[in-house]
Parts: sequence; structure tokens; C-alpha cells
Amino acid sequence: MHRHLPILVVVIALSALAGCATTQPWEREYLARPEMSPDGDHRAALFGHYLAVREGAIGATGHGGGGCGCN
Amino acid sequence: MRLQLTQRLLLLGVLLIGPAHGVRADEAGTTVTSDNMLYTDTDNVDVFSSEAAVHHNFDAEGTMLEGSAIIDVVSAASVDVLSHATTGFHEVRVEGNVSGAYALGDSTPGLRYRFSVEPDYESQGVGGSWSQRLGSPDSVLSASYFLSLDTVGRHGTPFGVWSETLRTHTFDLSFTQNLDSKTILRGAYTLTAQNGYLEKPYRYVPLFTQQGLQSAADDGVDLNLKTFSNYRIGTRPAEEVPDTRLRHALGLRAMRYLDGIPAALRLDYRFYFDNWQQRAHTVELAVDSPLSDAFRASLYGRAYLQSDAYFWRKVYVVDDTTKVPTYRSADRQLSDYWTGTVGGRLDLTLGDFRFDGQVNLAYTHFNDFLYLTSRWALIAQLGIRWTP
Repeated sequence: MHRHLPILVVVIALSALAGCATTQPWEREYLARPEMSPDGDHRAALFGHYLAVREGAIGATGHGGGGCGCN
Repeated sequence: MRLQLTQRLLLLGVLLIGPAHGVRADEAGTTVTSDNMLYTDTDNVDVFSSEAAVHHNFDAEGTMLEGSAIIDVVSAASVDVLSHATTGFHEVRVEGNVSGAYALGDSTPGLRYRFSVEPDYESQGVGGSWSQRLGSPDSVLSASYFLSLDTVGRHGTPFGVWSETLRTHTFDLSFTQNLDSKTILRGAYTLTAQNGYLEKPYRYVPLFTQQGLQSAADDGVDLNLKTFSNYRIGTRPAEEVPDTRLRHALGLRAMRYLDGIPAALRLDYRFYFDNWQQRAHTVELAVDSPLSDAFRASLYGRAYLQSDAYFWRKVYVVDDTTKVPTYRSADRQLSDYWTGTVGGRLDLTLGDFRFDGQVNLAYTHFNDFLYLTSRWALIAQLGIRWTP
């Protein structure tokens, strides 16, 4: 069980965050900037290509929108 | 090819499922992209990768289609090759991707198909994703699943004569939350389950006896790429690792816009563990700043540290030369090592075109690898994006 404790803690912590803030459309100027995209790896996809080959670990990069509010 | 890049790259591809390559669904339109990367290192590996992609957003909500093609040209005379007393090689890998997503109110389901071909490795994969706003656009939950079916072969041998299979399931879950008008937090978890042939068919593992190690010590010789063959026993079995691997990765990403500079600050942390008892920590810090309307610059540093798999040994010692260890490997990525990377990127926007150039320098120190103790790598990339 203790092996999965970190996962549980993170899931609970993130769940607790849901709905803790509501930004209005006019407050999303900074969130909508390209450098604030949580999906946009500023080094582009091919650098991930390099990391996938050269690092033993993989995963948990996360995708699927958010930030600016776009899916 | 002898590096069999596909096995690892398909895992990366899985993580890019959904609105691919970070293209934001902020407006309708088409983007045509070309990225080219050159990798060269002190271990005599040179790779040129080129990617072409077309991405079309049908609306601002996330409905999109994307197609991309990647080609890798590899030239290698690394220690992996030289330790088997063979010369270098040149090979080519080709990959294709098609993905799409359809916005349904607060939900965005997506699909993806992927294939990869090289002379001794074929892979096909298909998957689906679901992105869901939770009440407001400030909270987005995303989940995806990808199945990859691979066929591993040997160079110069038809797949019908010798081949093995590998099946990979990847589940990805992430949650992104806007904490306020300048701060974003994301948590992500990935479970990767692999079953099948996880070895490389070209790797053979040298074995030693205590007497052989003692002889090396008596001769005052450190075992390395040039000397190991003089002290090993004649038997050199093929690599053998467990057929099943369960891999977990937990990641946190925090982003904060600093309007006084102005710049976006990003901090990433990832913890990785698997049932081969490997552990890894990754920390990355980046600053991304709009220098002007046309220029954008970013600087970043990345630290990666991993422990070895439970069956990894720098040298495998046997008491009985007729018995070999059940599991044995010469894959440095199962060893204990760390890598530090620094880099920078500059973007220039001119009308409908955006150009980017970046340079990264990486140093890796192998703490427990027979053939190599360190490696420097240079990674340079040029990209063009056209949004008519």
C-alpha cells in the first residue's frame, strides 16, 4: 500500500484544487499567452524525441488542455 | 535498426495523444510545421530527425485533425556497437501519425493512429483520449489510453524467419487547474504496462569469473571497453530481461506569469518507478519571455537522475561457467546514471511565419557501466511554422 501512497496523495491534493479558483474571461490575458500553455513544450516535439531515447524514465508529461481554458 | 528506436519513441508518441504537439485550440485555421533536429554525441552517435506536420483547428473549442511524418537517419559507432567487435551502421526509421479530436461542449474526445517502420522493427498503435472541463475552464481533466503492437526483428533476417512481439498499454491521466489569473498547476500520472520481448537482439552480455577479475586486478587493469574482452569467459549469452514491465510516472507542473519581467516561469518535477525497481527523478526549470512582438526567448535547465534495475550489474560474475544469470543486460538505460541539460531557444515571428532555433547541451555520467563513464551531447533544432 505504501508504494501507492504518493499517487493517492497527489490525486487527493489535485481533486481538492478543483473549483478552488474561477477566473473570468477578462482575467485570462496572461493564461492565454503562448508561453503559458501547459501543453506547449517550448522546445517542440522532436526534443521529446531525444528525451525518450536518452532517459530511462518516461511518462507523466500530461496533455489535454487547460490553462487558457481551452480543451 | 540496431538501436531499435521505435520501442522507446512509441512511448513518447503515446504521451502526445490528443491535441498533438501542444497546438492550442485557440482559433480556427491551419498550421503547417517543419522541424529538423541534429543530435551528435561523444559516443559517436549522430541522428538527424525531420518532422513535417499539418494541423487544422475547425473551431476554437478543440475540434481538430492532424497528420505528421517523421524520419530519423541514424549513424552510430557507439560503445554498444563496438563492444561486439562490429563496425558502425547507418539506418532509417519512418513514422506516421494521424490524430483528431471533436469538441462536444465541455468534453473533447480524441483518437489517434500511429505506425513506425525500420528494417528490424515495426510498430502500430491506436488510442483514444478524453478531455473534460470540470464546471469551469479553470479545471480540466484528461485521460487517454494507447495500445501499441510491435514486432521486433533482426537486421538482415526476414520477420518470418525470426521475430518477437511486444505489447504496450499506456494509461495517462492529468488534471490542470488555474489557481489564479497568473498561475497554473498540473498533475499527471502515467501507467505503462509492457509485455513481450523487451531485450535488444543485438546485445550479448560478457560474463566474468572471480579469477578473471583477480587477473585484471593483478595486471593493474581497469575493466572498460578496450580491456574487458581479455578477462571475460568465452560464453557471452544474449541479453535476457523479464517479459513484463509495469512503469509508473507521477508529474507535477507549476507555471507562473511574472508580468514585471515579463516572463513565464515553469517548474516540472517527475518521479518514476517500476517493477524492475528502477527509480528516477526529473527536475526542470524554464523561463520563457516575450522579448518583443516578434521575438520570444527561453532558457531552461533539466536534471535527470535514475537508479539501476534490480538485476543490473556492471560485471556479471559466475561461479560455474556453464550457468548464466537468469537476467542479464548491457543496456545502459537500466544502469545508475544522471544527466544534466541546459538549453535555449529563440522564436521569431514574421507575418504568417514563425521560425525557431534552439541549442541544448547535455552531459551524462554513468556511475556503473562497463563500456562508458560519460557522454556529452549537442542537440540543435530548427523549425518553421506557417499559419496562413
